[in-house]
Amino acid sequence: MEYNHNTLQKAILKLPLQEPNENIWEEISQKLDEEPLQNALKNLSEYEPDKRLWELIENKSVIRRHSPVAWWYAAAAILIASSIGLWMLQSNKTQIISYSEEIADSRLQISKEQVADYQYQQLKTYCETETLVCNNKDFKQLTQEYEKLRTASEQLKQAMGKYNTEPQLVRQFSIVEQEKADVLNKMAQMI
Amino acid sequence: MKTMKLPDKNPFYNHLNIRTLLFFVLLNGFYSIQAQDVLQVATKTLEKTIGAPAIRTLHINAEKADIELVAWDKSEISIVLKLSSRHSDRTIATTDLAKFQYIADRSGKDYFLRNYILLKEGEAKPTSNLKAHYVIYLPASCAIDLKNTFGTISMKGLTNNLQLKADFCTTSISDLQGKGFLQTTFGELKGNDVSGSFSFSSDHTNLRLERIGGAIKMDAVYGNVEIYPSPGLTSLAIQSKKTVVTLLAKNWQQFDYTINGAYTVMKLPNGFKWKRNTADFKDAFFSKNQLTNVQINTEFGNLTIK
Repeated sequence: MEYNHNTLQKAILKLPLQEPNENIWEEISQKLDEEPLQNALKNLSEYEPDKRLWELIENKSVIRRHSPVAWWYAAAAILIASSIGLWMLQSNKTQIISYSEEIADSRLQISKEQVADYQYQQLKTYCETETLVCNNKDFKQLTQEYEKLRTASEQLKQAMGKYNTEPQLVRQFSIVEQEKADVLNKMAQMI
Repeated sequence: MKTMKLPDKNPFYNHLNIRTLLFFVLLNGFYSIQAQDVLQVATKTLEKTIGAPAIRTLHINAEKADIELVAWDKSEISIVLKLSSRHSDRTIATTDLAKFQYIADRSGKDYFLRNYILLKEGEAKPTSNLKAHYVIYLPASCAIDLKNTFGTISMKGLTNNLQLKADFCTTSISDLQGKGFLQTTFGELKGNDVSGSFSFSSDHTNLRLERIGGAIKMDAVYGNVEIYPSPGLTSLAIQSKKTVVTLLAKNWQQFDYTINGAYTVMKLPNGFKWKRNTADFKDAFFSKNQLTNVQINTEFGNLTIK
């Protein structure tokens, strides 16, 4: 907190005397957006002190003019202030969003069904009855390889999502799919 | 003398009007058909310059990011970070962009950059295509600690320590010196004019390194590894499993070699001496007391030296 305060002060000192620069506001909102501060704000709003705690504090403090009710008011004030602050941060953020349009490239979207996975399932079903080959060390290793590739392929699919714009992800995906097919062929040859 | 009032009497004028109208009607129709294929892109931008005191290490922890790191001769670091969200619905693109967060924070001589997805309680996962784009200019002497997934990385002209972890990334490095450890899973890595003490660890990655010198270590599982060493190579050690390894030197005889292979298909130039050459195990060397030693250990896969 103290560190952030200092950097804020420094940033304020650096401000030109005329109209403040756009960048500086961004920098400030940036600082306010830092995790420690955000976390602290979250902690504030969830803060529910124990009654006994207040009694303890009251007993210890020399000045006893703060009643528990006053503390609750203070807590409520902090809560409201912090939520206003958060709201302002949010509204501040929406101000710097710029919009544009792009045409989606359907060639970068991939179909959901993978032939290899279907065939792999068939192999697995086969392995439920046939154990001699399927318990073979090499076969098991190929299964592991396939599973790894399948996970990778799933991760890539997830990363691409519904509106992919990255040709390099599609390329990687087809490489992984090719490798899956190769592994699957090796497994099929063993059966 | 004939005079003509062009706007009124020119038949082409009316014709043009109808044509224009027709054009717009068609265009309108075209747009309504295309509407679902138009992506609304919401973008927020961070621009920053980090001056003195100089940053020793720049840490970047990125997801789905395109990262460009270019060395320049100034002492400060310039960062432009764009976070964007793509969806056919602009409102969704905007709400998803709010979940796409960044950190840009200095801590002494370290600088931390990060982009991540932050979901508040009850918030759904973003359905938009989220992408971060970093363009960073920095002094060549700045050390880098970089992590990225599902994106691209390009680095040029750096001379200090480089730590890289790239998963599913397309990475390209060029004109690098110093030292570094580069870890990749899947994706590809291309490099040229790299010299120094560099270690590579790759899994399912296609690597291609051209004009690579210095002391190089390579640990590869699956994928392809192609190395074109420069005369400045001082040592090369490759450990590979199920990888297709190719070493292409302009003059392969300028290095000494020790080769061990298990279940590997090997193609070595004439002149290698074989200690053992069976289908399963191969043990070969080439020695002319050269300064540079190339040591290769393979398991499965292929090895070609030319």
